[in-house]
Amino acid sequence: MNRKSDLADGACFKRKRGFRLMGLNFNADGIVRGFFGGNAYLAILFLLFICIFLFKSAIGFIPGFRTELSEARISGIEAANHMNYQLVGYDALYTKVNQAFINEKRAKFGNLATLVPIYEEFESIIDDELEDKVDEYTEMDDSEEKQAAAIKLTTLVTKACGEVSTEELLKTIQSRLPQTTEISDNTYQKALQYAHKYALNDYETPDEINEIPALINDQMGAFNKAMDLIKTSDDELREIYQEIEKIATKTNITISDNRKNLASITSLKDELKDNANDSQVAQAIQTRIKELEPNIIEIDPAKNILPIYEIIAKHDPAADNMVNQFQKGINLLETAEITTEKSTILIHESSRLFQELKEIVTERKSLLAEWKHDKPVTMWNSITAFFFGSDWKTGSDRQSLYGLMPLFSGSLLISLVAMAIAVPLAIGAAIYVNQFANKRESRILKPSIEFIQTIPSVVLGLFGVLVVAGLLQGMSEVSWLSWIPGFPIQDRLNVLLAGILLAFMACPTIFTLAEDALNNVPKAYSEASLAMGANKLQTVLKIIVPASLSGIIAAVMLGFGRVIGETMVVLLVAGNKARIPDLSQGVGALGESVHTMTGIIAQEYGELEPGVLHWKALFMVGLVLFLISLSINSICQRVISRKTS
Amino acid sequence: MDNPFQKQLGWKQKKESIYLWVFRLCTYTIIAAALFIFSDIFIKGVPTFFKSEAPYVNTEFFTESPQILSVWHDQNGQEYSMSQKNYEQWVVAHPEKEIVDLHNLTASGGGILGPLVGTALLVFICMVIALFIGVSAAIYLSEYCGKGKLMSTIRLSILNLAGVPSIVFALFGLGVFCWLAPVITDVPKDSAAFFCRWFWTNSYLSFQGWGTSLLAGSCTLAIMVLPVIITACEESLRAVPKGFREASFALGATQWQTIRKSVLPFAVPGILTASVLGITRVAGETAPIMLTATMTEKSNLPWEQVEGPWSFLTQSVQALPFHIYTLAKFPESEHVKPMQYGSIAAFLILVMSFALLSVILRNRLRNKLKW
Amino acid sequence: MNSQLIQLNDLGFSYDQGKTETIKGVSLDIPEKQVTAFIGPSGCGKSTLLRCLNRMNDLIDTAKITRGSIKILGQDIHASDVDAIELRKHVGMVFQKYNPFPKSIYENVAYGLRIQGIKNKDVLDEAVERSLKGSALWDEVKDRLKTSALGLSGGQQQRLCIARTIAVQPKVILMDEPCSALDPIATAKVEELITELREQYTIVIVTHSMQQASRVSDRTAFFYLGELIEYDKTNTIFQNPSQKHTEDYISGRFG
Repeated sequence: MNRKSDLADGACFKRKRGFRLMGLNFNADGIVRGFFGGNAYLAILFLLFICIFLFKSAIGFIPGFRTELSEARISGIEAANHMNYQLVGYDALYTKVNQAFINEKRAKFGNLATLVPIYEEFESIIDDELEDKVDEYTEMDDSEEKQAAAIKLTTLVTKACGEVSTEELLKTIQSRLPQTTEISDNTYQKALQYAHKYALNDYETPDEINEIPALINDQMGAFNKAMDLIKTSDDELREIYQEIEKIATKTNITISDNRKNLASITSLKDELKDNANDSQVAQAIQTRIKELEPNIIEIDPAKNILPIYEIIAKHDPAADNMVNQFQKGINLLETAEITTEKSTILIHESSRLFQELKEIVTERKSLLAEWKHDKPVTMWNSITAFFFGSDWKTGSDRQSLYGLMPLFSGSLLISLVAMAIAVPLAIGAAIYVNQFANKRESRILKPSIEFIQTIPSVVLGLFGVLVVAGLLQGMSEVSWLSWIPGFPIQDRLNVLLAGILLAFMACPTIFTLAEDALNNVPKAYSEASLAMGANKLQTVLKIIVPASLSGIIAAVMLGFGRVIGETMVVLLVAGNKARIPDLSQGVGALGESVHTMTGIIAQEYGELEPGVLHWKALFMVGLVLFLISLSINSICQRVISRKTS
Repeated sequence: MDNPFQKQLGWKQKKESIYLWVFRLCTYTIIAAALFIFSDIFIKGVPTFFKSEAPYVNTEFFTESPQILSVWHDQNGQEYSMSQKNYEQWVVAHPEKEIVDLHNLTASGGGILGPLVGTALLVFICMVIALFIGVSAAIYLSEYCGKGKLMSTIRLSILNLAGVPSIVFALFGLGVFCWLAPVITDVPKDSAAFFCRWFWTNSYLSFQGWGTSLLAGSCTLAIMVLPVIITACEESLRAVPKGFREASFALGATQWQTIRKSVLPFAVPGILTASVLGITRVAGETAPIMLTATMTEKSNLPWEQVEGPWSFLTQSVQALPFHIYTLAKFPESEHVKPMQYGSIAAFLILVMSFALLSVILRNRLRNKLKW
Repeated sequence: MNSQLIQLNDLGFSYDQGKTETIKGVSLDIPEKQVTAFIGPSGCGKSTLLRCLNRMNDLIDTAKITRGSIKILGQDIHASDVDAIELRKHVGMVFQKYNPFPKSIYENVAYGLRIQGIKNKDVLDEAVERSLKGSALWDEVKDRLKTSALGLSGGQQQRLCIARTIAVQPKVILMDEPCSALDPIATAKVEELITELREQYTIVIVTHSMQQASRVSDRTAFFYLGELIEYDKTNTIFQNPSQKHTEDYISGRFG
C-alpha cells in the first residue's frame, strides 16, 4: 500500500537516507565506496612513497660524496690516485707482456720446462719411499760394494718412479703447466737420469736442473732483456706512489675522523640542551663529550700538504722514466724472434696498450701539474664523479670510490649480449608460432614458451653456475672452435654466460608480447596480400611484420627492461668484478667478469647502517635503475596504447 | 592444355622454405633449452627426494632444516658425508674410526623444511596484504573512478611500476620496513629516526624499523606485486561487458549491488588467475627477501622460540630461494650437489605447480562463465 | 566453350572436414569479360563459393572440397600441380571491407608487382599510374602517392584496393560485396568503375543489393542454402525468373 502512495507523489525517486556523520551521508553504498577508495589511495600513496623515498635517500649522496672528495683533495689522496692510475695501467700491460713471455718460453722450451716438474715428482717419490735405501747407500764406504748398491738403487728408483702411470704424471704436471699435452719419452728418461743422480748424491739436486730456468731465460735473448727492462721500469714511480699514499692516507683518516667526531659532539651537545633538567643524563652526556674531545687531532692542512707537493715534483721524471724504459723494452721486443701466434697477438696488443698507457701518463701528468689541494670541489664535480667515475671501490680503509661507469657498462654489456641472442630467437619463434605453425603445434608451443617465465631467476642462476659455466668454458677450449674471437674464455663467470642465461629469461617476455603484436595485425591485411598471389613468406615479411613493428619494438624494449633489472642471475654468474670491460679487445671483452648495478646492491647492502655514504650510494644506483626502467616502460606503454587506440 | 597456374620452382620457393626452417629453428632452440634445463634439474634433483632403502622417501630432506654438512674420511680412505647432527652421533657410535680430513659446508646438510615453511609464510602474508589492497584498489579504479586525466595518469604510473626491477623494491623495503617502520617498544633504539611516548603508557612509538623480518619481507613483496595485481584485476574487471552493468543499473540496483552481482562474478576468473600468477612471481623472487627477510645463520623453525604474534612476525626466516642462493656459492663441491639439485628441483616443482594451477583455473572458470 | 572462363562442375564444399556441406553441388559456367553477380540471402554460400575460386579457403585448416571441380582457363585448380599462389596472381580479389596495407598509396599498388620480383622503377611507376587511372583514382591521388593509404576516404580506399588488384593484370577479379561498407556516392563510383573494368576483365561479384546486381551485372546467379537455384542473364532473372524462390527473393518477400 505504502509503495503505491510513494509512487503517487514521486517520493520513490528520492535518495534514501543513511545516517549522517560529520556532514557526510553514510549509506551502505557510500561505505563500500569509501572502503575501496581508501584502499586505492593507500596503494597509490605507497607507490608514490617509493619514488619519494628513493629520491630522498639517494639525493643526500651528492653532498656527502662531495665532502669525501674534498677531503681526499685536501689530504692529497687525489694526487696519489693520479699516480696509482698509471700504475694500474702498467700492471695490466705488464700482465699481457708477461703472458706472452711465458707462452713463448713454453713453446720454445716446452720439453725442457716439463723436465723440472717431472723431476720434482720423482724427487718426492724418492723422498717418500726410498728414504732408508738412500740413507743406507750414503752411509756405505766400500767402493765396490757401493757400486753394486748404486746399480741396485738406480733400479729401485726406476721401479718406484715407473709405478706412477703416465696419465697420473701428466695430470700432476698439468696442474703446474696447464698447456702440457704429453710427456715425451726423451724428457721422461732425462728426468729419470737426474732422479738417479739425486738419489746417489745424497739428496742433492743436480746442477742441470737448477740451471734450467736461467738457461731458458738466457736463450730467450732479446725477449728476456726486454722483460728485464719492463719489469723494473715502474720501480721509481711505485716508490714515490707508496710514499705519497702513506702520507696522504694518514692525513685523510685524521680529517675524516675529526669530521665524524665533531658531528657526534655537536649532536651530543644538542642532546645536552634538551636534557638540561635531568642532571644524571646530562652528566653522562658530558662525560661522553669529554671522551670524544681528545680524539680530535688538530692538523694544519697547509703544513701537511708540503711533503705531498715535494713528491709530486718528483713524479714527472719518474713517469717519464717508466715510459722511456718501457719503450725501450717494446722496441727490443719487436726485434725478438717470436714463434707462436698467441704471443704475437699478445705482443701486438701490448704495443697498442702501451700507446694508451702513454696517453694516460701524459694526461695524469698535466692533471698533477694543475693539481691544487685547496681548489674547492663543487656539487657538479661530485655528480660527474659519480656518473662518469671509472672506479667503484668500497670496503677498504682507503677512500671509497663510487663511480657508476663500471656497473653501468657491465649491466649494459650483459643486456646487449642477452638481447642480441634473445631478440632473433624470440621474434623468430613468435613469427613461426603465429604464422607458420599449424594449430595443434602452436597450441603446444605457445604455452610451453610462456611457461619458461615461471622459472625463478635464482634457479636459473644456480643452473648457470653448475652446468652452463662448465659447458661454456669446455666449449671455448675445444680447439676447432678457437677461431671464434674471445675463445678460450678468460674467466669462468663472464659476460657471455650471464648474457646467455638472461637471453633465456628474456625470450618468453619478448615472445609473448611480439606474438600478441603479430596477432593484432588485422586478418584483412594478410588476406589481401595472399589474394594478390603473395606467398606466406612475402606476406609475413612485407605486410605483417611491418604492420606490427611498433608492437615488436615495444616487446624488445620491455625485454631489455626486464634483463637490465634482473638481479640474481647476474649476481651469481657475472663474476662480480667492478671494472669497465675492455672493449678495445673486441669480442674478447665478453669473456671478462663484470659487475652490475643490480648485483652491487644485492652484494653490498648487508651490514650497512642507514645513512652512511655507502648506503646512499647504493640508493643512488637504485634510483638510476628505477629511472631507466621507468622510462623504458613509459615509452613502451605509449607505443602500445597508441597502437590500440 | 598448358597449365597456367603451374607451380614455379625457383629461388622464391627455396627462400620461403629456408626462412621457414630458420623460424622453426628459433622456436625449437628455445624449447630445447627449456627442456634441457628442466630435464637436467629433474634428473639430478629428483633422486634426492628418494632413498634406496625403506621408506624410500628421503624423510630427512623434507623434515629437517638445513644444517652444516660434515665431510670426512676414515683411516681406510672411506669417505663419509653427513649432516653435523648425524656426524656427532656417528663419532660416538664408531669410536674405533679415525677421522681424517674433516671439513664443514654451510647449509648443505639436512633438509629444506625450514626454507619451505619460510617461503610459504612469506608468500601467504604477502598475498593477504596485496590481494586485500590490490583487489579493492582495482575495483575502485575501474568501477568508481571516471576516465579523467588524473586517473589515467595514475593507471599508467601503476602500469609502469609493474616493470620496475625487484631489487629497487627490495632497496625500498630495506630502507622503509627494516629501518624506518614504526614499532611500539619499551626501549627505543638509538638508530630510530624518531620516537615519542605512546599515549600514556611507558612504551614508546619508535620509528626504528622491523629489522630483517618476516613482516618486512612480506610487505616488501606485497608492494612489489601490488602494481601487477591492480593492473591484472582492473583488466579482468574491464573485460566484463558494459551491458551487464547497464542492465543491472536499469533494474534499479545500486552501484555496490551491481558490482557484487553482475560484475565481480564474471571477473573472478581473471582475479584468481592474477593472484595465482602473483604467487608464482612472489615465490620466485629472491632479491627482496634476501635484503629484508632472511639471514644465513637462521636455523630454527619459525614457531620455535617465539613469544606472541609480534615476535613471530618480526623474526627473520629462512626461504627457499635464499637457501638456493647460499648453496650457489659452492659450485665445485660434489658433496653439495644433492642438496643443490634437490632444492632447485623442489622449488621448481612448487613454482610450476602454481603456474599450472593458474592455467587450469583460468580454463575451468572461463568455460563455466562464458558470455 | 572458349568464352566460358570459369567452369564449376557439381562443386561441393565443407568448412568442417566434410561433415556438413556449405555448398551442395553447384554447376555453372562464367563467361569471359562479363560481370557475373552472385546473389542470395545471408549464409547461402555465395561468399564461400567466391573464395573457392581463388582458393582463399585453403587458409582454413578444416575447409575441404567435398566433390566436383572448378576449372579456370580449362585447368582444374585443385589439381596437384596447381599452385594456389600462382592461381591467385591470375584471380584477384577485392574484399568486403576495404583493406589497403598500412603503407603509402604507391606501395599499395606496386605491392603485387614487387612480390613478383619486379624492381625496375620505371616499370613500377608505369604500372601504378595505369592501375590508378584504370580505377579512376589517379586524378585524386596523383599528388600524394607517397602518403599513407589509410588517409584516404572509404570509397577511395576501396578503389585503391581495386587498383592494387588490377595492377598485376589478373584474368578474373572476384569482388566480395565491395560496396557494403561504403556510402551511396562512393558506391556509385565503384559501380561505375566495375562497368568500365568489364571491358578488360572477367568480374565475379557477390552482392546483397539486388539493385546493384541489376545495375552492374550481365549475368546473375541466385543461391539459396548452398544450392544454385537459378542462373541466367540478369535481365531474365530480374524480369522473368523461372523459379518461385528467385521471384520471392527478388521481390523482397524473404531474405
